[in-house]
Amino acid sequence: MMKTKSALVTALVLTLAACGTTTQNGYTGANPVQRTITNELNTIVFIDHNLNRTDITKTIFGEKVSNTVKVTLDRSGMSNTATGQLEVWTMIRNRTDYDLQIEGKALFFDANQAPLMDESMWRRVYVPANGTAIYKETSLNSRAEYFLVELREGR
Amino acid sequence: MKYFLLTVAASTMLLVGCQSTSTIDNSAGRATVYEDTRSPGKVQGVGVESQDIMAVTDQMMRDMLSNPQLMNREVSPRIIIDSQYFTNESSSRINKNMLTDRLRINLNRAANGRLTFVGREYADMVEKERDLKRMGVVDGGTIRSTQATAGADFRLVGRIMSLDAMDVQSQERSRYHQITFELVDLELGTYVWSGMYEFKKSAQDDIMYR
Repeated sequence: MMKTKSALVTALVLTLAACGTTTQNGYTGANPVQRTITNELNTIVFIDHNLNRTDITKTIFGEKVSNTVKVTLDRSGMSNTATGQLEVWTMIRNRTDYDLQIEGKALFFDANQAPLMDESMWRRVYVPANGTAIYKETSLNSRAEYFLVELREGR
Repeated sequence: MKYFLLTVAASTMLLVGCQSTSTIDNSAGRATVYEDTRSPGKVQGVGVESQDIMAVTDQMMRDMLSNPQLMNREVSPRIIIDSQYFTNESSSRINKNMLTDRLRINLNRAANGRLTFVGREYADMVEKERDLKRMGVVDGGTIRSTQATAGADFRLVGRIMSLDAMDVQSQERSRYHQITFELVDLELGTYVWSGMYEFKKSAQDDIMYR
C-alpha cells in the first residue's frame, strides 16, 4: 500500500514538473508567443521580448497565459510623402514608471513584397515614464509599398 | 640522512627559484571579433562612434530625399557635398569626411539621378585632364566635350558642436553633441534645407579616440 502511494506521488510530481517547463510549440523555458509567429508585412513588431510579450505555459489545469507589457503601440499608420516615399509611423506608449529608450528600424518592400534593400539605421526614441513618443521612418524611394518595423530597447 | 635532507632542500629551493623568475604575462588576450557597426560595440565612450555616424547620415539622407524643394524639380539640382564647409567645433576627435562621404555616397545611390553631385574636391584633377585634351596631348574621350565643368546649385554646410560636463568627484562625464547640416543656395545664399541630429552620452571613464 505504502509503495503504491509513493509511486503515485512520484509520478504526479514528475508530471507537474514536466508540464511546468513546457511552453507553446514545444519550446521549453521562457519562450514567448512572439518568438514563433510569422512576421507579416505592414506590421510593427517587438524584437526585444522584454518590452511586450505573451507567455503561454501548459499546466495540468490548462494553459496559463501571462503578458509582459512595458511598452505598447497606441496608434500606427502609413502614408506617402509629397515626394512619393512611403512613410510609416507609430505612437509608442511607455507603461512603466521609468524613462525608456526605444530603438526602431524599418525595412521596405516593393509591390511584389520583394525587398528593396532599403533598411534604415536604428533610430532612437526617448519615451518618458508613462509618456508617449513617436517613431517615424520614410523609405528611400517611391517604389516602397510594404514595410516591417522592428523595435527594441535602446542600447 | 643529513645528505639526503640537504639534497631535498636544495632541489626544492632550485625549483621554487625557477618558477618565480618569469614575470612576463603572455596569457592569451581577447580574440579579434567583428562587431555590428550599427549598434554600440564593446569599447564605447562619450564621443561620436560608428552607430552615430551611420544613424545621423541615414536620417539626413532620408530627410533630404523627402524634401519637395530638392526632389520635385524638373531638372535635377547639382549639389556639392564635401567637408570643405563642414566644421568640427566639438571636443570629439572625428574625421569629418566619414560623415560627408557617407551622406553623399548613400544619397547618390538612393537618388538614382534625381540629384546630381558635383565633385568639387577633385576639380583640379578634372581641369588637368581637360587641359591635356584641349592641347591635343590626349584625345577627347568618348563621352562629350563641354564649355566648362559643372556649376553647383547647392552646397552642404554644417557644424559638429559639443557641450561637456564632468562630475569631479565621481569622474563621470557626459557629452552632448549637436550636428547640423544645411544646404545653401549658391546664387541667392539662402538655406533650402536644414537638418539636425542631437545625442548625449555619459560614462564613468572616457575612452581614447584615435
